[in-house]
Amino acid sequence: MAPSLEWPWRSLADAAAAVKAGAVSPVELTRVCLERIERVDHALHAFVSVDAERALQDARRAEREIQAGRSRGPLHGIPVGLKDNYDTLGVATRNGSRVFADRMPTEDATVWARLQEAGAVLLGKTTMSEAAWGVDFPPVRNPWDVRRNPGLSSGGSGAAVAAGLCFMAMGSDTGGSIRIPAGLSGVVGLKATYGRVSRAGVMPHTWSLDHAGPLSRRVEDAALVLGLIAGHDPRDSASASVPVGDYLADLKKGVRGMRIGVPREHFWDRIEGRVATVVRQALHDLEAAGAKLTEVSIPHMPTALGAILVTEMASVTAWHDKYLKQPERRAKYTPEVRALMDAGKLIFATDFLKAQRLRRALTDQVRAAFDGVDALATPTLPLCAWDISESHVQIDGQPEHVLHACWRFTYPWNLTGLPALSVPCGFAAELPVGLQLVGRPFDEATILRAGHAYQEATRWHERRPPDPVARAG
Amino acid sequence: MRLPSLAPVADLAGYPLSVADLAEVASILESIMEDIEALRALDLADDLEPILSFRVEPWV
Repeated sequence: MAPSLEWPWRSLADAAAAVKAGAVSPVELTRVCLERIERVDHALHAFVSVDAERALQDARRAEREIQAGRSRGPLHGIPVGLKDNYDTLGVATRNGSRVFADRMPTEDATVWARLQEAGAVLLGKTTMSEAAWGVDFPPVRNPWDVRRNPGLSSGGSGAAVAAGLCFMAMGSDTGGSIRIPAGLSGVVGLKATYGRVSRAGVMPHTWSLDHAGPLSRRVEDAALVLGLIAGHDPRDSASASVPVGDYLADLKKGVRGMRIGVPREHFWDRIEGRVATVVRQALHDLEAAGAKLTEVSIPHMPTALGAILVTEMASVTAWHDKYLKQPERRAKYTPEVRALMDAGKLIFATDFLKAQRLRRALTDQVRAAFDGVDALATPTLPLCAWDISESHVQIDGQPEHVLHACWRFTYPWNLTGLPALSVPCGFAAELPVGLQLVGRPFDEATILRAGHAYQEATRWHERRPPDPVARAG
Repeated sequence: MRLPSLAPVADLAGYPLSVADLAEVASILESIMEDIEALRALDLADDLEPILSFRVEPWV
């Protein structure tokens, strides 16, 4: 059996197999994670709340069940984290906001209900930015460099997984908030096709763009979790009635003969040279593993930012409107988020509908780009993790707001609803870089297969960040 | 800031917006206007209907 302190760095699949075989107990796994959270999370702030007593209680029950020869499922006794916008019965769910500081759900989010059925143990809720939009307090730190940002609203989930505080954490993604922290924190992030994973019980941000999905250290772990949480849910009006495949069955078939398109426009403009170099090498690695790369064109891609901006601003304001009208609640939004929501009131219906027409045009062009290819590959981000104190970065000699820069390569796949996976593909100046793989609708299996093949061919995912406590001084 | 000229904007929100609120809103709108103008400038085909959410049909 591996030494206890090694467990937080093992994959979820390894840990689950070890629990099933009796090589490690759920209590031991949970204790190791809790001890690690206790030791290092004061330097990271990845968790906004941890319920150690409840986690150990659930782990003891899981252990008794194992001893009695009963397995709940593939996550039996595995400690996980949930972003603070997933409803959890009896555990506060605050959406990262003082507006919901006392919110106690009376029902579990469907995803959490399914993870529980599979045996998962909840360690706590991971830190998120206010209403998945503003800043987080205190700011989550990137485990690779605690002076830097781990990436937008699921940053706590990314940091928790990267720092070995849990085996998997759930995030949500409206414009990239699963893939951006995955890219910046050196972990795997999966946004499945819109409608593939239920959002019931996940606090809404933008109805037509929101996705729920896992962050993990291995693609295999993301595939395992997707198999558990995917599938139709009558509680979510956008949930798709599309059969769920066995995402582990073809995972190891490799990429020999797989046709991967690399978009010509947008994704190689205004990108840090060091990031482009790492991602180009990753593409060569996929080619060396047998994939066939080809250039594709999506002309509308560079013009789509306005479409997601007006869609998001109008939608967020529409959901929060009733709280904004209540003076005592309105005062609890931070001025920055409140101003964004007020500005959402001024999005014209004509612009909103033009945005949805552009979505259609973009979708048509992306569909055409998929003619003759099985997946697309792009960088996940145009930059590496930025200093927490910075609001602007220089990319290609041009100043750009970090929030503007960081989602440029991810939001198109929210507008089009396609499945997208970020896989760690190397480092630039000791900071992680992500490769983004995009699939056809409901074909998560192909991008998971490509991502797994890449991880089998490289070892980036085995690198561990420095001790955050020592780094924080 | 001349509030009277912005009063209809404040009214549009449906709840009181102070002068400071309006200044913040103006700043945000200014920061995104370039992208909204680009969206407005796009010449899309007349028969292109909006999709209000993801639909699998175009892919079938």
